[in-house]
Amino acid sequence: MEQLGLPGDTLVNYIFPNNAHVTWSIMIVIYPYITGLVAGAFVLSSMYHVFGVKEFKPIANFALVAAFSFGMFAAVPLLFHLGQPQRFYQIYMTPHTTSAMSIFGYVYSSYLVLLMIEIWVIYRKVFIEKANEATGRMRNFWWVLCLGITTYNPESAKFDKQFAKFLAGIGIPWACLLHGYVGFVFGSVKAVAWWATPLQPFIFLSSAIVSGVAMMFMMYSFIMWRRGRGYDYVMVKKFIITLWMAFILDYALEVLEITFVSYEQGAHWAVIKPLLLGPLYESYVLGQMGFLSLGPILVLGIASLLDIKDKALLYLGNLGSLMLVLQVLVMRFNVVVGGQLISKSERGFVDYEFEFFAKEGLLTATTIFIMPFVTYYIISRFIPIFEGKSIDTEPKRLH
Amino acid sequence: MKEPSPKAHFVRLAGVLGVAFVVFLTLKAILVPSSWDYDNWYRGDALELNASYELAYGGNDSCVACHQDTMDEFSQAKHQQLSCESCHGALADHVKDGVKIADAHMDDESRWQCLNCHEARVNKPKDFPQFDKITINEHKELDDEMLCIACHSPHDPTP
Ligand code: HEC
Ligand code: HEC
Ligand code: HEC
Ligand code: HEC
Repeated sequence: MEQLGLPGDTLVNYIFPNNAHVTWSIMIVIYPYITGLVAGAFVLSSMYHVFGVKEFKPIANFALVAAFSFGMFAAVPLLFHLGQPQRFYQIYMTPHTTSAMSIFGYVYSSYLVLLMIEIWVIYRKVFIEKANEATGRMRNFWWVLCLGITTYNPESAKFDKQFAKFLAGIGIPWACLLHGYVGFVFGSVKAVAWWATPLQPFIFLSSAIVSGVAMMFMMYSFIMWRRGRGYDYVMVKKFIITLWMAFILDYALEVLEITFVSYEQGAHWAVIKPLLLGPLYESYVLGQMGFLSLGPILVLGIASLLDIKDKALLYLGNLGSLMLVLQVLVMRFNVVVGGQLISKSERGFVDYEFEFFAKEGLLTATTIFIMPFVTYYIISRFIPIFEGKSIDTEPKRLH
Repeated sequence: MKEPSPKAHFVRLAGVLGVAFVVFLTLKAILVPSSWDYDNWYRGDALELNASYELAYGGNDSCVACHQDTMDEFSQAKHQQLSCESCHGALADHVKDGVKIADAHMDDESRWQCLNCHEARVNKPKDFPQFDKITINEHKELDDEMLCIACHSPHDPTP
């Protein structure tokens, strides 16, 4: 810690009594992580629904349902962290514009409602079929989902398509808003040197897209492997190229940010540099910026640029995706926990210890993180996700 | 049965959303605490609630009745602006209903309590008395074991 070079041989590592504990723990690491997966998956599904990227047709609905499954659990880590889940509704009661955090309830749930409506419009046809096939209680369930309209009018398909496209369209800025907002919450904390940068929302957003796309790739590979009906390699290739480009953009932003701070040599660099070279050396320098970034750029680059086909393409894609999913997770950790490691006196670092069984331990985090996958599985038992039975929202192409 | 119009489901969806919105607004109106102060953005009842909590810290005046001597010494000395309880712990842990119930906290075996405030640091005002081993002769030979209260009275620290 000599680097700090404070006058008068002052003691460093000075920790105020109310600063001994890293209060935003693993829960606050996985909260932006899951939120990011939602945004990323949604953007992927919009590639087809809005921009008409044909190759992504087979996964457009899958990504949408996955986005919803993650969305269901995005706020759960917060409830665990705050420790008073029975007061969940209070976040809606008295939000104020002077507190970005108090707006979260609205930003988040409006997005979830949008997702639900979009899925509803796209799957209405399926719901109607089910309502007509089912008997007994299940019939009532599907009947309610159809809002009592159990005949599918071919003309309504046209309106459904338009509406689904409209929703997907406004969904993109909304998803960006949701995740940009999460970055905003951190970027606007001016007391924490490692967080406070206007670039933070963009970094969060671009890494969200990366993690979402990478997660979708792995889920797609897994599901297709389980079904054993072959992979759509044309799409896989496009998938990999998209992921590669998204990550290059993301990485560029991350590198820009750190280069900027270091080049400026501002007052805060004196504490950020020893943070990155000290407590965050493994997770930031080696992990986030090193192996977990250069690895995927290389692996996905090879898969994108060279003439690699079939299984090899799939393996490379999964390897790259796995590294990226981890890269973003580590990045969330480096931001959330890393920022708090700087003691409030800006003279030294607080310790952070991983807990396992604690209320906010790794076990809880893992459990919460598994829930979206379980939810996806349950939903997929009820509605066909890959069979293309839902309405087709393919946009008209000009050429 | 008559075919529903191709837009009927949108009408119903709008209806559901409309009802949900009204329910939400109603719930919000009911659940916002009635004492909410929209001008200053806080729950009015919170003040009363806090006031109703049992007293833990009594302030220096609460010690006078039983420790007049200490108080006399203390209030003339340099430490007069300190709270007794910052060194001795909360009144509630020591006295209840006017009777002593437990020993007050008293750190007479370490130096951390004094150093907590007097450790020399650049961010402290220059005129604040700081423990330094350079300018004060009596401090120069001190080892880390020597207690501060061997030379300084905690209540009247001026040596
Ligand atoms: C800077 C910390 C500090 C503050 C402030 C302080 N005390 Fe003390 N007090 C001590 C220490 C240390 C001792 C133990 C002295 C010893 O063992 O020689 C002590 C001892 C005492 C004792 C035991 C008898 C004695 O004098 O040794 C009483 C009673 C007492 N304090 C009351 C008070 C009251 C009342 C106040 C507020 C007016 C007060 N103290 C403020 C540190 C403090
Ligand atoms: C109801 C009377 C009463 C009040 C009020 C009171 N004390 Fe005491 N305190 C006592 C008694 C009795 C003793 C024991 C005196 C003795 O043994 O000589 C004592 C002893 C102490 C001691 C010596 C350690 C011990 O527990 O024997 C300290 C320190 C002390 N008091 C601090 C305080 C401080 C600080 C306050 C105010 C926040 C305070 N007291 C308020 C009655 C009181
Ligand atoms: C809660 C903070 C605090 C604690 C604990 C504390 N002091 Fe002080 N001390 C002060 C303050 C405030 C002053 C007065 C500074 C001024 O006059 O500007 C002071 C003044 C002094 C002085 C200078 C007196 C003078 O004549 O200039 C000495 C010596 C001293 N304290 C010693 C001690 C010792 C020994 C202890 C441990 C028993 C102690 N202090 C604990 C806050 C504290
Ligand atoms: C050997 C006795 C002795 C011990 C032990 C001792 N001091 Fe002192 N201290 C003194 C004397 C004597 C002075 C006054 C020096 C002067 O005014 O030139 C003094 C002065 C001070 C001052 C006032 C400095 C100023 O700028 O006015 C502080 C603060 C102080 N001591 C804190 C402490 C603390 C804290 C400890 C325990 C870690 C401690 N002392 C231990 C003897 C001692």
